[in-house]
Amino acid sequence: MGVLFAVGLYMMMQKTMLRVVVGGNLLSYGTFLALILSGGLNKGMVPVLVEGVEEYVDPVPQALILTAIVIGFGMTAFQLALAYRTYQETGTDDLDELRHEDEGNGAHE
Amino acid sequence: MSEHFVFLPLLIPFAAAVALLPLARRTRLQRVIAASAVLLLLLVCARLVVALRSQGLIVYEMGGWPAPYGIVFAVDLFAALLMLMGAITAAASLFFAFGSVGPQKERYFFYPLLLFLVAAVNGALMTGDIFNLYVFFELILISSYLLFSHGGRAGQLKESFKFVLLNMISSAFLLVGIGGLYALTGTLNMADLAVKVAALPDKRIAAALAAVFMFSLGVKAAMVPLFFWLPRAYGEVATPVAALSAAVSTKVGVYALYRVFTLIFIHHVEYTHKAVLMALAVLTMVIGVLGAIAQMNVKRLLAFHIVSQIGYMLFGLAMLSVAGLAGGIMHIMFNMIIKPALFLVAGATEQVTGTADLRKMSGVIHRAPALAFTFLAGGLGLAGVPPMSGFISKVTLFYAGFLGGHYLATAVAVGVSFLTLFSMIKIFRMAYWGPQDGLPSKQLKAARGHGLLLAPGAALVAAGLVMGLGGSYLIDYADAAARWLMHPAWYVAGVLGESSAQALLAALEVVAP
Repeated sequence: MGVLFAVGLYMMMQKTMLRVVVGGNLLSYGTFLALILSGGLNKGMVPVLVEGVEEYVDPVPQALILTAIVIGFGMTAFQLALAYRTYQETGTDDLDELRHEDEGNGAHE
Repeated sequence: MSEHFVFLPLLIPFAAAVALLPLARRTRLQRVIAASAVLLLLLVCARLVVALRSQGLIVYEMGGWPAPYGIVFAVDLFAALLMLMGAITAAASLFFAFGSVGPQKERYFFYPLLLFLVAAVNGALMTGDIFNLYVFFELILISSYLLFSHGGRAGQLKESFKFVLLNMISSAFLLVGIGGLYALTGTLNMADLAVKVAALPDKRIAAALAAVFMFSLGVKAAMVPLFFWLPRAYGEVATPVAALSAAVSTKVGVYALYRVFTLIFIHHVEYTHKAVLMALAVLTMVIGVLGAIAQMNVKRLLAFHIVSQIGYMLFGLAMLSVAGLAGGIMHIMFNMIIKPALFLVAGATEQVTGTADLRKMSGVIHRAPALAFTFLAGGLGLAGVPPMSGFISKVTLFYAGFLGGHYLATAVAVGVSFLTLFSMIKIFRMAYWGPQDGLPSKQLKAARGHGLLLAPGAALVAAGLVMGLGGSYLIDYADAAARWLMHPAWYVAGVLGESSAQALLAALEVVAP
């Protein structure tokens, strides 16, 4: 999980948009892992309580990461579309170059 | 009042947005449906506020599953007040959008997105389940991403990309925090969390999680040092979107901070609230207003003021006293009205002059005096000049500050007020005052038809004025809401029943002595 976080954050600091998106993805995978761990690991148990079953795994984190994965998926799709549109409009996928284009806009900072 | 009534603030905008989706081509019908939905929402929220003044808390159990097993909606007065303000702003932004966005955008789902945003905000304010809060945050963000990048100019896309990225990181951390809390307590219900965290023998992990929450919610609330995405993004987007986002998006972050730091993380007040939050609040005020003074683009300037005002709200939370919270609540309410008003008026001015650069504007007052004076009234209100309600909220905050012995922070807050006033006068002087030779003649003609654009902003400023004049009612409501925040046991009793509240009180007793 720590590795996923580190790699994800490192990639988000890259210049190319695609790498940034992938980095964001890795970061959220790290989060999913953290979530599933929050229920405690219990290998091979059933997630429902039935008569006669004494050991079970907590189903709530599973429901949580399912939701989180769906949200993350939608977000990635949107980010890719956004990155592509930005590339089409500006002709570059380099975040540094995007910044330089900004200078002529009037506001001084 | 029916038991399901409390669910309406979420249902109305959501249903209306879904109904609008297949009507993309019929702009007139879209406008009618969107407007009636928002006005209906306004009535429902007003009714809810009145009901909650006497009742305090309404709990709605989804699907009839009792808390803490099911997902609950727990609406208290604080949430209802914010929903009311949000509805007022949504109505104003919507009417401004009628006159300004143009048929091209209207056809591409502008109104449904706006309504989805409103629905998600209301959901986040009402929910009593911390994972549900995360989900509604994501909904808010997704609809704001789409609204921000709507229209697809290069500048907009660029800023949206940064905005998406930062919020993605903050959401990831929010999830980690939620996961941590779940691992610690085995529950996601906020009231249950309050009880379980209070009963923990060792609260150091809870303190670490508090830091995680502070970070992720701080990004969403645009707190220093995590505010840098906001001014540029708001400078680029369409005016009604900027107005609505200015009113609701960051305030939901502040709301979540208020909720979490009055209900769950109340065990290390000395450093979480009095030290860390206080320092961040002061920094946010100062850096926000300094950023605003350096700006020449009207929208970016106003966006920096959002950051600065967030500082005041956090200041109220950091004091963690009834007076401080009441001041903070009033300040949130006031800002939800006046900030969008300024954005809308500035947007109308932009349409009149054809530029957002202060150095190129001049003499608008000769062409559009009403516009100029509305801005002046709003700007003075933001700086805290009576009789606008910003005065009441700021005085309450300062009073609470002295009462709590935070002399330095209070002094800074007063100083920042003066800088805010200075910055508002700067806009007024540069854009509205002076000779009108700055405007090309083509724009002078366009200046005639600004009445429709002015009306929503003027209505919001008037609402701010009414809130100021009816200050005693405002204080009464804010005080009641603050009392509920200061007594987490009341909230717990409402959601889980009296025995859990007793358990919380007992756990607090053990720690407090």
